[in-house]
Amino acid sequence: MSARGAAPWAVAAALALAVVSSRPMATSVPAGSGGPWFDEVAGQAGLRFVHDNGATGQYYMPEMMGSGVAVFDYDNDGDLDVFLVQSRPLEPVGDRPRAGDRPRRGHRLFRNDGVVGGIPRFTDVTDRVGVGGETVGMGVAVGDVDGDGWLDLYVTAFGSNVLYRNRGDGTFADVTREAGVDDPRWSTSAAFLDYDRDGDLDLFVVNYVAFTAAGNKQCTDNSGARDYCPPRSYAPVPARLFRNEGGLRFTDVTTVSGVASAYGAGLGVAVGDLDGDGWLDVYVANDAMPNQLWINRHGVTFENRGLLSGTALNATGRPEGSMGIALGDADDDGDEDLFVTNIVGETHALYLNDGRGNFDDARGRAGLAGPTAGMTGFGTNWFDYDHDGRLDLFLTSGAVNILESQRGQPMPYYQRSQLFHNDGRGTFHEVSAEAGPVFERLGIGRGAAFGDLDNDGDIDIVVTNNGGPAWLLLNQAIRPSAGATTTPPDRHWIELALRAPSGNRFGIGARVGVERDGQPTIWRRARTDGSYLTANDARVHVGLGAQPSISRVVVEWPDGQAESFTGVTLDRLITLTRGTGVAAPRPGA
Amino acid sequence: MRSSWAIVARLAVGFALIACAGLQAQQLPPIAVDSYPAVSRQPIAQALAHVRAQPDDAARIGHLAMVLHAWEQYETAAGVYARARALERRYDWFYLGGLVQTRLAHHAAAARLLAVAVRLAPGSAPARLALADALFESGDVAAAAREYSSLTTGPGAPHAHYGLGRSLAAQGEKEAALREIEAAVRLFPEFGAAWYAEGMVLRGLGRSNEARKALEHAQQFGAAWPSVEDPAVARVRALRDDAGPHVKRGLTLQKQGDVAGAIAEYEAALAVDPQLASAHVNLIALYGRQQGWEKAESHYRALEPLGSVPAEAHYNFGICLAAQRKSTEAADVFRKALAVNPEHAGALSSLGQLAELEGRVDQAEASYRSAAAAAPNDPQIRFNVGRMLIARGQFTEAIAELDPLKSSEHPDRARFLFGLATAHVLAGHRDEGQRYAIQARDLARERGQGELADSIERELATLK
Repeated sequence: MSARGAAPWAVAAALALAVVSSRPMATSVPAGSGGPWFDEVAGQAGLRFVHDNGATGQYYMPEMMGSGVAVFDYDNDGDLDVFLVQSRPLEPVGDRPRAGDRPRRGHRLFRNDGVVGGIPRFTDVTDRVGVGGETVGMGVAVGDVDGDGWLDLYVTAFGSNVLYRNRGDGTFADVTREAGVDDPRWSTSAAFLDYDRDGDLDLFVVNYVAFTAAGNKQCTDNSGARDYCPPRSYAPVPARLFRNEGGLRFTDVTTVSGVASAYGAGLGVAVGDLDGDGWLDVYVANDAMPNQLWINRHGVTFENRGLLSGTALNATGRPEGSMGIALGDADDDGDEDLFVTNIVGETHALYLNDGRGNFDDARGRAGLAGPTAGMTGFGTNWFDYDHDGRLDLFLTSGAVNILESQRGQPMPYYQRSQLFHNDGRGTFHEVSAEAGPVFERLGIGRGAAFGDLDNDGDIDIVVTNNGGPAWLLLNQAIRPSAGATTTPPDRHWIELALRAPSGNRFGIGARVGVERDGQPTIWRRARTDGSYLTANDARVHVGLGAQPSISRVVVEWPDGQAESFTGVTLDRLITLTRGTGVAAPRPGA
Repeated sequence: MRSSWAIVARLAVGFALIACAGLQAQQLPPIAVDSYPAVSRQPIAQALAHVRAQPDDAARIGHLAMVLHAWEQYETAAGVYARARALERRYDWFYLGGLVQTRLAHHAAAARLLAVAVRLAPGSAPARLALADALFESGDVAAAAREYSSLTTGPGAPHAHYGLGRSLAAQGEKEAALREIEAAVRLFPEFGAAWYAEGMVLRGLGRSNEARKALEHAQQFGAAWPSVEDPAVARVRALRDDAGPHVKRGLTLQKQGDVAGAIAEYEAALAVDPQLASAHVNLIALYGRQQGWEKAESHYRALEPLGSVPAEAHYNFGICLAAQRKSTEAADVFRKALAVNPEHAGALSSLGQLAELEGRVDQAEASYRSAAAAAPNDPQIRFNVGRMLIARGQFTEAIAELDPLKSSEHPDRARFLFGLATAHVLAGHRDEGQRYAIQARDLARERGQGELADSIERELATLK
């Protein structure tokens, strides 16, 4: 994009073994050095977006569910731009009175113009870019569907979804019809994945319920007050799987793949190799119905192993109102564990993986039940906010039914976001109070997208609020120190951007292992899916604590090939290009 | 010297703050009656007025807490119970306060209160079970196991065995856990949660097939839970006389198969609120199960003046008509259900059954297919499609339709397997058909479906 953004991208020739490019990052000091760990800077950053939930007093369910956000580099200038999904009323209405900022119509794309005074600056470029569709928008997925090296957008909606192809010239084109990826039902989260290992990205779309405005039911809460209906008021709708045939053409393989054989009111989706067989599986979070764990049978079919895996229900065998998903190695044993946000009163689930796709509901002993019981959680993710090498947890919340303490208010659904620190001994401690005033701020939290928006080496968060403003939570836990020239000795990190010469050019779905002398390998996955209605940055961020160096990085590409890279320097963003490393055996191969 | 004074001053301030905090914990929390749901304001206001008349009367304060508890205002109720406890060390205030803390998922706080409740009333099985649950949920698994162990005889035995099994499983003692959970389901065979726990333990032991069967039972019984008589909770429930609790209890009893009990609860709910559509809808089905056709129809008709009749009401009434062999009227009512919800799988499937009874196989198949499209998860509907294909001689298509059902977790899996066996035999795949028929027979025997097993046995004999 801009020359300003490109200037710091100096290529370090000395690192050119397997590393194509790298850049040093800002120096920093450990958390607790003063000031909040997260600053909410959306206004200062120019990320001015107010969500229009389209509420008209009819209690239409779609009003309460959106909307999502994507952080991705649409213009390949090295910094993360932000796409915010907008909604609108289900049916035409006149001017509605609104408090505060007036929402702008249509989805918005904000270009990152670089960091000024420590804060990334954004410009709304929607009108010239062509992604401002006016739908009852829900979620967004990001991936390079045509392998041209430019990230594309898939935007879901109550109604038709849209695939925006990134032309690479700063504009997008709606290619939904020719690609054959529309789903006119109520779609929520979506994910790109190479499930058949043919080198390109396929598309998994989650659908919610068969709601229609004409069939809107009148529901009440326990006290008889009018309220939004629970999901069981309407029939659930199956998810949809589209196989990428190349040439920007997709085939609907929902039925032949088996994905239509089980479903609930789907809200969240995350992709990972949950049974450790090397094939990408799909986990779907359903609202008030059993969740599905779709085990990939060698790229041909999927089998729902939710029930036997222990991830369909809670520990007492009951389905929960599941929304968002965080998938990652929470207990540092090399496999991917699940955190699933649920509705108020249920507590959120932590399902720990034994590496073979058998999970144990560990929410209680992990300390995650009590602090989440009063929350209706949505967007969430694992991330190492303090670079101690362990995955911490963020979640944003906002009720969908009237909250006891807010009854009588116009929007009695406000809740706060939460941050949990992983102590490395299986327990998570809520540190919201220490993390900054933004964690006391109330909103109707929905999406949460994760990425290093100011390119300072730590992970920031964009949060969306239903009927309210988007927030940008800038991570200052590793706060820059005046006069310091090196990264603090106990806060090392690395960010890894994957590149492939063709097809899935950003390596979405690849598993990345950071090998350390005398310490277990840290495993992460390059993914844009997870959270709720959201697309995250695909770059892999790894906190390394006091580890001064690493021995090598192993990349297990989604097609099953593995490669190792050496000479990787810490405390910077590194690009690992496929074919420039050394072929490596996959574990267990 | 100066620094010592500073420390003393800081300590003094600290003690003062602690004292204030303790005092605050004993104060009544703010209660803004107008902010509560309209139907609950009068009883809350009345209880609050009694408290204001004598602000230090623990009984009045406890009653206010119970009223708030009954109306599910848990956060405020917790504060009011605390105030009552500060004035009177009474079992109810500790026990009910503990239950409220459990409801708020504050399990450690709940365990502390429930431990006191148990000391005050050592013979209270509900309190001891609640304490054990709170200990388990707060992570003190060993203490929970000790508490459960002491309760494995008496009224809470199924619950205690289940809890002990879960505690042992959490401690890695899977075989011992399995024994306890098996004891729980022996004592209360509809214990859905225990079946689920058994499935998870069996999976952990590598006994996947048995795990699947246990999980089938868990699905079959769902939320059914062994109840223990609890006078304190009954006193709380009695404080709420709106329709909501009756409907909740009706739903629970309906799930447990107590038709008469569920009817009584729904009728009680309608006595409070005659316009409660959900009660009418469920009563149509329940009276239908008792063949109380007139009462079923009266509840169906009662919905008409309310504006819109839910699809489920049409469907339930259609089933009643079909059971009386009033096929034409039933079909009309099922179509009304479809007018409300074109994807009502039950109505579509029922229309298929009516068409099948009249020998209209094409129409039956079409209806079943529509039902299957509306509910692809429903193996019973898929089975019906398969049956129609067999009836039409389309055996290959029938096999394709029925094959995915062979690993279904549905209680009717033996029937599905037999259907698949039939399709294979008729398609000329005699060996495969025989294999599936044997599986179906064995499964039917295992599940106590003797009649089905016998009829499969007879069919197998003809193959020989």
